[in-house]
Amino acid sequence: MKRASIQFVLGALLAAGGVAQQDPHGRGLAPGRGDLHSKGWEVAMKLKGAPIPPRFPEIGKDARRIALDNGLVLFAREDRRLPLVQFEALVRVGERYERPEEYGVAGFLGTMLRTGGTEKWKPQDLDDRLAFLAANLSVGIGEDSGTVSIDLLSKDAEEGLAILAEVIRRPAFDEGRLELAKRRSMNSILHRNDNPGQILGRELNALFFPEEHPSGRSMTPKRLAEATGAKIREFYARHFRPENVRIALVGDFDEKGMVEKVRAAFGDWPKGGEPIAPLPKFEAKPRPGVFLVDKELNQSSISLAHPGIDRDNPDRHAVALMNAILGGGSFSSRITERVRSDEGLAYSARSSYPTGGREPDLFQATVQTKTATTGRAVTLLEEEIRKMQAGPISKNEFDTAKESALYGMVFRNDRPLEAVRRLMRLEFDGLRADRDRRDFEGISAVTPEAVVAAANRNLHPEALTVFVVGDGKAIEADLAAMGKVSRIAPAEYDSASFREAGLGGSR
Amino acid sequence: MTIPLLALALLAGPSTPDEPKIDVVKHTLKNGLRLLVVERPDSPTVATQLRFLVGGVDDPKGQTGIAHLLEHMMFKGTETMGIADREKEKPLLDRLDELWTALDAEVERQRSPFAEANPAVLEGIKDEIEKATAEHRKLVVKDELWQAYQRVGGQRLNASTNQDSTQYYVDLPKNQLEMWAYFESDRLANPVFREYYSERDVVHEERRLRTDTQPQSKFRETMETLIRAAHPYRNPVVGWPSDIDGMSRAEVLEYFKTFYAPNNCIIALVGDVKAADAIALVEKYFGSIPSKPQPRRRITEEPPMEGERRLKMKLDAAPQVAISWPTVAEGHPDAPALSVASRVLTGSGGFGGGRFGGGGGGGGTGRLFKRLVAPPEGRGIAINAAAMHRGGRYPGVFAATATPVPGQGLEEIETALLAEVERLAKEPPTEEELARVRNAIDAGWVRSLESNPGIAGAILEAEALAGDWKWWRRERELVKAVTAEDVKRVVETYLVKGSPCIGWLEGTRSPGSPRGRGGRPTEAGAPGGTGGVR
Repeated sequence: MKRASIQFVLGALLAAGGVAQQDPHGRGLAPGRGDLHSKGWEVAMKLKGAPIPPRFPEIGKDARRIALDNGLVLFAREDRRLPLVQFEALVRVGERYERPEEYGVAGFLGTMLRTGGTEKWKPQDLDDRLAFLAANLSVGIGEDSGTVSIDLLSKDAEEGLAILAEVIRRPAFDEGRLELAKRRSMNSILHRNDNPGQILGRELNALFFPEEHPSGRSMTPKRLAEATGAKIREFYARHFRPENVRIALVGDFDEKGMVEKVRAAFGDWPKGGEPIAPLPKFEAKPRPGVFLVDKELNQSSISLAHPGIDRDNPDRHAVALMNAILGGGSFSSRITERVRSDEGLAYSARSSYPTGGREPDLFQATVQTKTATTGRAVTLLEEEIRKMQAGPISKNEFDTAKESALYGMVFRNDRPLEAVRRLMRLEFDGLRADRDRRDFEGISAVTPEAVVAAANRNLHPEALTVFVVGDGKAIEADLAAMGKVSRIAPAEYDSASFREAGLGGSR
Repeated sequence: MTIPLLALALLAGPSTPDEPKIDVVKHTLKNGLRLLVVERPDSPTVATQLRFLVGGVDDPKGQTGIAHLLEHMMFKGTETMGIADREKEKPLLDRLDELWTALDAEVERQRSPFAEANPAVLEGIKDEIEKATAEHRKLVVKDELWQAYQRVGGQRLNASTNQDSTQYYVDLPKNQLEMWAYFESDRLANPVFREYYSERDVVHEERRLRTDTQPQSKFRETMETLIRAAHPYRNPVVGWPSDIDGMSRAEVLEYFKTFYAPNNCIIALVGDVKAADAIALVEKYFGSIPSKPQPRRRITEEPPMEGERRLKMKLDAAPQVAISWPTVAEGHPDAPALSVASRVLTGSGGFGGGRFGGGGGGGGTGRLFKRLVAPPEGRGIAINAAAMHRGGRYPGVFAATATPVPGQGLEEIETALLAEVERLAKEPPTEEELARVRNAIDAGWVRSLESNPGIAGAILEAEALAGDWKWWRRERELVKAVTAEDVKRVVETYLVKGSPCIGWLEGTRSPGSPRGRGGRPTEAGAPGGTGGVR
């Protein structure tokens, strides 16, 4: 039944007209990959199977949702295939919540939860015990969420749960481990300009995002000095409360019994404190221009960028397909075809247009190419972005982008943990539980005309930032032909910087 | 060794309860192709992988990188795929080969200090190449195989080359396997290496991306050349720059014809597929491809290393000390104990490689961490320290590395690393340390059964190395059986009495005067500005 309806959707839309049957040979002015195919392709398409309907996770079917009295919510699911259990807490915390005097504290909170021990466990004892149990404990804190998770053999599930509860509820923030974390951070600060990709990512984001936004700031000696244990504790206390926590429980256990054990471990955790205010949405402004970070290298790292869209944008499905055609669909996309395959200018040449973020992220077309072909690569990227707006797109490239998305969905949530994690995440983000189904239907409904229209609304070739990390003296003339070149000298720090910040430099 | 009874009870630790099993069906075709199938119907998908028993180690002299370049060329189509008119294409490809051969020869000639430069000749050939390429491009249908796999939802579509083997993989919905069999058998039987010369440039860009612009990679690449004077593991899989630039299409084709034979290939299919169906499918599509006699592999044996070797490099990178000792190949009776030695030194968990802990080098429970990074009595001298044993088809190395705390000299790091390795011979692993290794092996086994592509890779690795996929399981048992005495012996034999290769990566950041604190864009030509810190 389900299969039939999906086949119908696919069949009907793929048969729809509106795509150009175009000259496949053209380059330059032609819009892109054509409809030309080989004899072998025809044979292969006859072997092609129908799309398998994807599984869309549902509360009740893929996970039982249990709310504790203190506001903590559980998503439980038995999975008896292997003797493993996985517990994953999702917490409303992140760099986006840092106050100006706390910049950098969220990252240290993550490291300290993982390594700083608990009231019951000294750091080294806990790590030794985890190693003995062959348990993986990991903590990650991002922009607007954090996870604390443990996975281990199911025979040790109770001990794993007890450790997870200790780490979440009674962390100790050991000073010695904090100092080690800071020494590691110091090393990263000293070497922040060693890698061209790292420079490009950081400095490009800093053009678009202010210091108040996590994307616009990075760790400095001063912030490092000011990230004290007391600040980390305070930040922890604001966020780690039961009403801000959801926990996924997946694995080889009796569900009812396990839920009771979790209730015993977390049920007496008192709720309370200031509610966490919703985050504002930051909308970056375009920064057209040519920017250069001069570094002596034999290959330039290049990004053409402008602000993109967020997950609430009605164009998001059309933009996803548009980006697949432009440069996100690897070898089936125009940028890869021209820059890599035709001209051999790069190993990696692509575009990305994130459509899943709470806030708009950056659209980027990126390439790394040898110094001598820097200007040529920029020109090709720019041309392809413009052509995307001019349309038309070929039937072949449209079908490839769309079928790749729809046929591939069967791989999503195909393991119980992923399905449960997905349901938990959707609720955390305030999104509808049937979002995956709606995405599937949304992509199914996109037409070639909608892709071109979305390109015109959401690509801004006139307002592109051209950002290059490369050998200045060799590429400056090429770049100057595109506009006035603004040089960016990334901050450099040495041991004196740390002394000035009151960190006493190195050992 | 004796340990207190109480400890024994505690250390009994994870036993092996109802250990999950794996059923692999192995089928060998008449032409020598081996097929491994694992039925796992949980998800309606299948992980596929073809592995060829040829890799960087087999690259001939002057052609380093050829196995990897061949891997790229395998995506360029066949007699019937990727081309609109094969008959029209043939003379064009011949013409392009002639022109490129002429160009490569002329470039080489002009490079001689005794030759006269003649840019006009080069330009002339390049013009001709451009014309012929444009003509050819009209017939080419780009990356059709890739596109077709995308059309049916293929995931993890890629290929990789390492020193010992080359593999091609894609995960597919279960009902798309016949298309896979059609494509993979077609490119094994009838490939056409079109667009070769632009792909050669792509590969050189890959080298720039992964090695030339990455100081740590350059250091590692150089260390590999230091520990091996003669064995081809000394060469990077991607190839040396001039070898990449000078490789001809005919040479790559010849290499293909020699090594890409069904009898040199193993296929794994893991997922929602019946073994009988998989066997019938592979027989139907691959059965008629003739086997080829394999040449004797002429791999230079590394002569014993006499005396210590040293490397010092000054690069824009975090300083590091790396010490390597030559050891043994996978399958050698001493390999499991060397693996245990490295695990005892490195440990697991805790301060990992990532920003927030997790796996990776420098775990929180190994001896190196407890001595060099976070000694119980106070501050350590390193921020990371780890050891590993890497064996392959041919003898491998045992490596220990550490990154100093900023400002810490490298000499003390070197001394401490060597001391900790020697201590492993004097104070062999405790029962607790060995129990951790055993438990990690057991849990690792269970976790490895979570992923279809993971299983495919593991059984192919074992089948390729040992001729038997069961080696995957057996190797774990051998590691679990290692005793403290075994570790002591191999540490003494290979590390304490062996000759080390010691590498110092010295950073270029000199302590002292502060540098520019730029951050805000300034006009071209202006010195680095002041202001915000980025």
